[in-house]
Amino acid sequence: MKNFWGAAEFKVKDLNISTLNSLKQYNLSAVSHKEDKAAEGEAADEVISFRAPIKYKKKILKLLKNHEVSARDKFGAINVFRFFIKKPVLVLIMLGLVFVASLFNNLIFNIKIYGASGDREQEVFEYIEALGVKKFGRREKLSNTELIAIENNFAWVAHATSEVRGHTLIINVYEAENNVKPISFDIYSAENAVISHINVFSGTVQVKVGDVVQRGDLLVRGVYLDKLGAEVPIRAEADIWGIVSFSKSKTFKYDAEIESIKESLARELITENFLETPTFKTFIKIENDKKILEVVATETRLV
Amino acid sequence: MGAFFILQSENKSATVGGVKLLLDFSRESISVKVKNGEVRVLGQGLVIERFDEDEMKIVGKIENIETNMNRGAGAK
Repeated sequence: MKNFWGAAEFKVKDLNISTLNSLKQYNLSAVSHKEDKAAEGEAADEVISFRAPIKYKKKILKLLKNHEVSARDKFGAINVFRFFIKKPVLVLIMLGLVFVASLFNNLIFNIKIYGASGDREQEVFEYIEALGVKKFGRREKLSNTELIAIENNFAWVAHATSEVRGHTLIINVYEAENNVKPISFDIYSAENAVISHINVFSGTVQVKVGDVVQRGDLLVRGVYLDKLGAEVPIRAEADIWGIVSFSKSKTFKYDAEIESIKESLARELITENFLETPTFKTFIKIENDKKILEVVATETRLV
Repeated sequence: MGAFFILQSENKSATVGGVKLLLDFSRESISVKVKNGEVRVLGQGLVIERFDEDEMKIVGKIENIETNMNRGAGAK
């Protein structure tokens, strides 16, 4: 941009052509003749005016030190900066206005509910207000938790969605055909295991990694707490893995039998208990003068 | 030093490239020395809008542009 940082305007009396030629290295612009106001009865002085980038101002003044010259700064980025430096209150007011504008830009001014009318619309309004969703709140869609809360709180709502258009929050509710209320759905352990990994998508987890659980123990409750602290039923969904072990043992007389017994016990364990190939450990015990081979198989599996 | 050229836009502006020196400057006439001769712009209310190392742009009511080039200048 031409003279972005600002320009200086010079007016020089009796500037000769050779001096003007020596000034062309400073990227002159708007070079023109002007007549200076003269006293009555006297001839007007010949003045040449021109502009140059403000960065050359000092050099030009030095070159014109033997001339009668006046220099004036023209509007530019540096002048704007100097202007605001001198007026801190104005800067603070402007920053405040920008802050207020950005604040208002992030607010919801209106809430509309589509798909419900009359009392039902009012009920939904009151419920979302209780959840903390109000006019002049943050400009964002309802969270999945809030949408599920609406679905669960009203038997006649089968599904709810939300969107933001401009500064209006729109909540779409779709009525259920049979008014079927959601039921709680818990997750229980299918095996005796040591919990190794938990990833819960919905519901309230009841165990932690390292816990020893028995078959039938409750792992995830099919409820969640809404913003009002009430338990809302939900279908629990989770990936939970645990370390599961099974063992089998058999007596033997001769050491030569060990390998074949080990193989047959492992095969039985895999067939009866395991989804994937487990890891095996073998132990030899002697009880009542009888040699016993025990095979323990372990895998990490979904329980 | 840039190449010599003259670019005239209607009768409102003229840009001369390859300017070496300003020879004369008044509201009615601006003369410049270029590589192989001289260029003289005649008109009314003439102002040098831009004057730098390579070019000069003249604005105003331009009535005529005269060139006085040395022999053989066009052949180069």
